[in-house]
Amino acid sequence: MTVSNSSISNSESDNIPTSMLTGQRVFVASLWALVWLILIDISLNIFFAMPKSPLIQPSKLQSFFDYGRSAEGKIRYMVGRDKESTSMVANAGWILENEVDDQPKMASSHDRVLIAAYGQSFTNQICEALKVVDPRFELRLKAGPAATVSHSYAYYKADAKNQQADVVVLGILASSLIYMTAPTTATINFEGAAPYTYPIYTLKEGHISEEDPIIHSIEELRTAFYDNPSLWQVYIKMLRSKSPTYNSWIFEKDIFDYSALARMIRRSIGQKHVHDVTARYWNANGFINTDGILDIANTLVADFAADVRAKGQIPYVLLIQDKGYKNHLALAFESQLKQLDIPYLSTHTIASNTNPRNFVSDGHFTPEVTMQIARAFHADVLNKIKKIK
Amino acid sequence: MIFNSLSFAIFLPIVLLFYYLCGRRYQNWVLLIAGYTFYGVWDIRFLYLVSLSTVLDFCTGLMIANGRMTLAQRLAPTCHLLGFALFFLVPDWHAVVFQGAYLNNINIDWQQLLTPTSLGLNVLGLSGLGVAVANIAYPYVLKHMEEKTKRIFFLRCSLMGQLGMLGVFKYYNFFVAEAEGCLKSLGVDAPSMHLDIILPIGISFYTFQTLSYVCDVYWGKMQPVSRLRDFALFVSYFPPLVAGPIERASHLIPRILGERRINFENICQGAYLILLGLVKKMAIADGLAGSVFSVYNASGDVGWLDIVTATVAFAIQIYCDFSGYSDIACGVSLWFGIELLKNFDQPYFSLNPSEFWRRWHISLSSWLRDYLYIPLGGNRGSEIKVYRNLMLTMVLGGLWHGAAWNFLLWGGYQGAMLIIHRLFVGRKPAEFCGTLLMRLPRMMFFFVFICYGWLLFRATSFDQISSFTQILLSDFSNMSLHMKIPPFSSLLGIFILIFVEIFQFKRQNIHFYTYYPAVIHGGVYALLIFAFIMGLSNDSQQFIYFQF
Repeated sequence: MTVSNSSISNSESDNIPTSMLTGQRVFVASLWALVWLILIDISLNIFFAMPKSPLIQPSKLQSFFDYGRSAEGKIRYMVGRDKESTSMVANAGWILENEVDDQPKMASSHDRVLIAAYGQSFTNQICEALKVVDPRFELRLKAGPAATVSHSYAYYKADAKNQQADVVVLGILASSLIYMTAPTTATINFEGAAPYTYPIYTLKEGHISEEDPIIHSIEELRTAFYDNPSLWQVYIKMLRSKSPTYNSWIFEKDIFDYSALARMIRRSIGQKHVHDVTARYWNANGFINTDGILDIANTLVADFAADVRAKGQIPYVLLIQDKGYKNHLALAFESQLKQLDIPYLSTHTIASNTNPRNFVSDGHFTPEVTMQIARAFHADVLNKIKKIK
Repeated sequence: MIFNSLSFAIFLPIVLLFYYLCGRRYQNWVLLIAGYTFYGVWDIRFLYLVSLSTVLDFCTGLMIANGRMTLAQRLAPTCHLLGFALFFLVPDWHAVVFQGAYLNNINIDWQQLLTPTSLGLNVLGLSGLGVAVANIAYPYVLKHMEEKTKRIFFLRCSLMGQLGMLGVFKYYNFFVAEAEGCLKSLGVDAPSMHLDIILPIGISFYTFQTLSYVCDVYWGKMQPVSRLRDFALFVSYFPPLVAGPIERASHLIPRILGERRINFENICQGAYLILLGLVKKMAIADGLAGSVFSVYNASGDVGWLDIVTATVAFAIQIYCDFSGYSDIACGVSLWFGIELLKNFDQPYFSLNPSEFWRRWHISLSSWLRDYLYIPLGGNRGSEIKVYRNLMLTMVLGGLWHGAAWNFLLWGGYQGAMLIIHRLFVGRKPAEFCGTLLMRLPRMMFFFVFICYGWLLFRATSFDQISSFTQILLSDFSNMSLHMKIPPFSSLLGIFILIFVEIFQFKRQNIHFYTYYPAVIHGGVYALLIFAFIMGLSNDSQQFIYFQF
């Protein structure tokens, strides 16, 4: 608090002689600014370029300056000419009907329980923690990075005939629900673009209708990139016409991918796109049934439960409410789950998702919280199994 | 509409285009319409409050100074207030819904949009009644009231009206809730008197601005404004409207009425200030917000290192957020040829609380000094009275920030620091004349006290203040850091800002770069543009001072 009675001086002292900011001087300084910016751009592209091979983990700074690359640019970088030069992420999440893997098809003995789970990394982590809680549980995990309910449902459908699990889990992630408006998460989640695809589901007279994603496997994607570019064009055309969340400026590769500064500008525009798209389907009060996403998702869950029950298995729905989503998945699904008596667990009842301490930096639950959820899941599943066995 | 939004990036060039195309005669009209648009975008109904504030002080100012108003001077506020009451009456903006893949379709429910609400009807009715009473009472006041009585009467009208509005919108619910809590603890079950109202953005800023006008007119420091449209522009001039600087009537009104100097130098200086403000806000403050949130809004265990780093981060965040807004406001205003008051002068270079308040939120601290501290007695009288004045001023300054106990506590803490400083150094402390390097240890020492003040300011509850203070003073066992790491843009922005502030301090000039060759001058621009582009990706946060 100043105690002088004199009135406040304004910024006269900041005035500088007019001769110091002449047009010529500012013009020259602006040219220098441009030169500096070009040098900064070139330096970033040289010193923080992504590794030549997508198999090498980039540093945090390399990733940072690459977040704004177009989704197509990122996917093309991930997908090499062969399996050996293709990143792990590019191979993840593809729905294959006759997938060859070493996961159990049924419980190894009568005192064991096989859980088949369809979801994403959150679902996998909870199920893996469940196995730690109770080693009698065996796991068959099918997931895609940040997969939405459409993907999990489609994966279940494709895998149903391959497994005789005791409990079949459908993991629904709050932040991924809006991805069901496209056949790929990359139209919205462009910063962490993953190439895998899944059908777009719609409702026609109350029944589920399926839109083919055109590209079904990493091999087909590789073909689209290297051998048959028209296939990629057909895919892009389908995205444009079928997905209300598609934005060509964010998705399609262009000249901006070559400039670090332009990539950062694209990233900010992309984030604005994500905010706008998210606001169409979700607000602080919960999910909004824009484009009927809640009707479709509820129908998929009901169909999943009916199908699982028809096979004599127990359906189970994990409502994974990640950071900031409060109880919004419960609001969207709970009434139907109760009505159809489908067992479910909503994670917000175990750990608050408004407490940032419950999450690690990449947005997943901390191991402690995951373990808490797994314990609650375990208690509930044991209860359900006892009813039947 | 906020400065760091796309809508403002579209709005400003349009306003500038009209402003430059119009001659001097119409430029104030452009600014007035722009001001109302800028404010009305949030909620058009709150324009009524701006109008009420404008009309009240326009009339009281004239009555205090001249003792009378011409017919035109009475007619203009009548139309102004009723016009804005109509705005209050009509629109329900929930009726406008954006749809479509790119939010490009607008659906308007015209019936909902145009159906008057009962509150709107009441406001229109009361405004009509108020205007009628004022016009009917005018001849009586003119005839029967003595000059001196009239001056005091209208000063009181203005103070009661302005502070009453501020009280209702900003403090009513707080004090009612506290009173209800007290009664409940005594076992008295009082009916809830809570009002379902929201705080209009910037009300504290424009209220203080108009109060300065009425006080200056009353004290004879300035002549009243004779035209409503000029006074309306003084209140609604958009660059400082919602988060300051709190303009003084004696500073801004002459610039509104007089000739303006718009030259290349102004435009360049304005552009630099806007860029610097955007970097401070978007690259630094918005990036740090998540880190601060991860400690202050966490319910888990918090350790000593978490509290220290989060509090230092908040000190940087609030400085960059608020001074960033002020820089943008000053820069935008320079583009209109109007120089605003300086609001920040590198506060963290301060060595003591007295200096801090000469450098932090200068427009508020000088307002409090001139309109509260000095009228209370200022430095005159016994030391005890001076301490009382200091404490009262700072506590009320704290309360200005918001209706919450932690703001009161923060104000009390600042008052206590000023008193203790005065106790130690006496009435006229000697200015420190050493180099920046010699200042550094004292700056760092005082920064610790500033930061503790920010802890009080940012805390979410008394319990948090208590537990954080306890950990800071006695619990050094938990040195793990759980705070969310700030994004690269913030770290780079802080690094750039430190250099900018050092050079600015050395040159004592915010435009320090002009002293250097074009290659360095251009380098400063480039670095700021680079930091700004990096900051574009941070989650946009509302300016902290909007809530005040």
